[in-house]
Amino acid sequence: MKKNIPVSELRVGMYVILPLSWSEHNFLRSKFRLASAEQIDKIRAHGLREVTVDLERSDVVPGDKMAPQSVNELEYVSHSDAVVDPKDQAPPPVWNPDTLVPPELREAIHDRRLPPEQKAKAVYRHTRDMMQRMLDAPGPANIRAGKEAIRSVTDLVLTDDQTARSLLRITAHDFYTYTHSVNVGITSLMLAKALFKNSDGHDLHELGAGFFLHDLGKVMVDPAIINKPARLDETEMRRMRIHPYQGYKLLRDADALSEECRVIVMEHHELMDGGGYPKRIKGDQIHLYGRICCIADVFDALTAERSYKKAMTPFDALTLMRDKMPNHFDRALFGAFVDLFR
Amino acid sequence: MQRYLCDVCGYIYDESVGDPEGGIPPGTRLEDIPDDWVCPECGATKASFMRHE
Repeated sequence: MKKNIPVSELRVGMYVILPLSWSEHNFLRSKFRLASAEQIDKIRAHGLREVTVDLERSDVVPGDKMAPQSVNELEYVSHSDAVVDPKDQAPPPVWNPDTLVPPELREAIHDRRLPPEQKAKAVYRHTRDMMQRMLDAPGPANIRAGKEAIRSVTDLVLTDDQTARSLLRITAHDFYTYTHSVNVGITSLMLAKALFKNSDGHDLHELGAGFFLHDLGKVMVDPAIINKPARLDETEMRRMRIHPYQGYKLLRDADALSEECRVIVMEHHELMDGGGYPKRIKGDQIHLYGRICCIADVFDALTAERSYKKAMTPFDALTLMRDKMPNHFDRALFGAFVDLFR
Repeated sequence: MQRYLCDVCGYIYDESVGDPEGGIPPGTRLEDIPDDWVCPECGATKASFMRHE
């Protein structure tokens, strides 16, 4: 039997049927048993006054004073908490433009009282969370929302030198694409900043977006290949090589494509000697922005910890790039990149 | 009708199928495809395509 209950009387254990279409709320399904006080608060936050409750599928009924109603009450464990059918649990949140960007990211960026080291740590952590969410749900609206947030991070890197330097030091070493994206975003932008800061001819915000999103196309590659804990064989490499073009198509279809983003995403794997991909262009045929991203990309790959190889120090990575890959990178750009780490 | 392999990503262009989404009707020979066409998977140019048995 179904009954309309005021939101103030919702309790954990009630089976709710939300009136909103699935795209309007953060829960994946519109019908589920409330499993936590936080879910009740989220429903309240949507502005709903009343919610339909299916009494037969609920563990508690309206008027039951014992069940928890909000985070301000003491949590108590009813038997339904102990015996839970996973199918009835509310599924994990769905990322949409309203939930994609952690509020802590904006707070950290704009907090004037935070010392640079702490600000850098907070910005790094929350940007990484945002990238993870974006890559989990890379729909057009999310891509646009993420690009906007990246703009704020780019601003910070460009204008707050101390925090930017701290960010550069943090670029941490694990093997997740979202971490790699943030690392390459930061290091490429630092190089671009060093080269272009005093010139008007470059849109550094679009550059920032392109650098952070350079590997967006990896969402189209089988995760088993991306996460493989060993070197890729030829078949796997072939699948991986679709990611520049796939990233370009995602940005284009999200209406988030600028010229800067296009060249960075398409050309970040091209090499000066023509041995890169997908178009095998060489030297000056490769756009400057693509050449910048390429250096940062290889550098992060070498300095990242992987399950099948240890992380290299920046010094060792730069030495290897100079000695073992002499014809891959633009010499002048590589020199400027090395200077970032002095 | 011939088949060609993109040696960047392994995509197969089959002349009898074409690439309709890319504006190439079935039955189009590789040499007749415009030079600005790219591999629908990876964006490689025509030059990367090899005969494939």
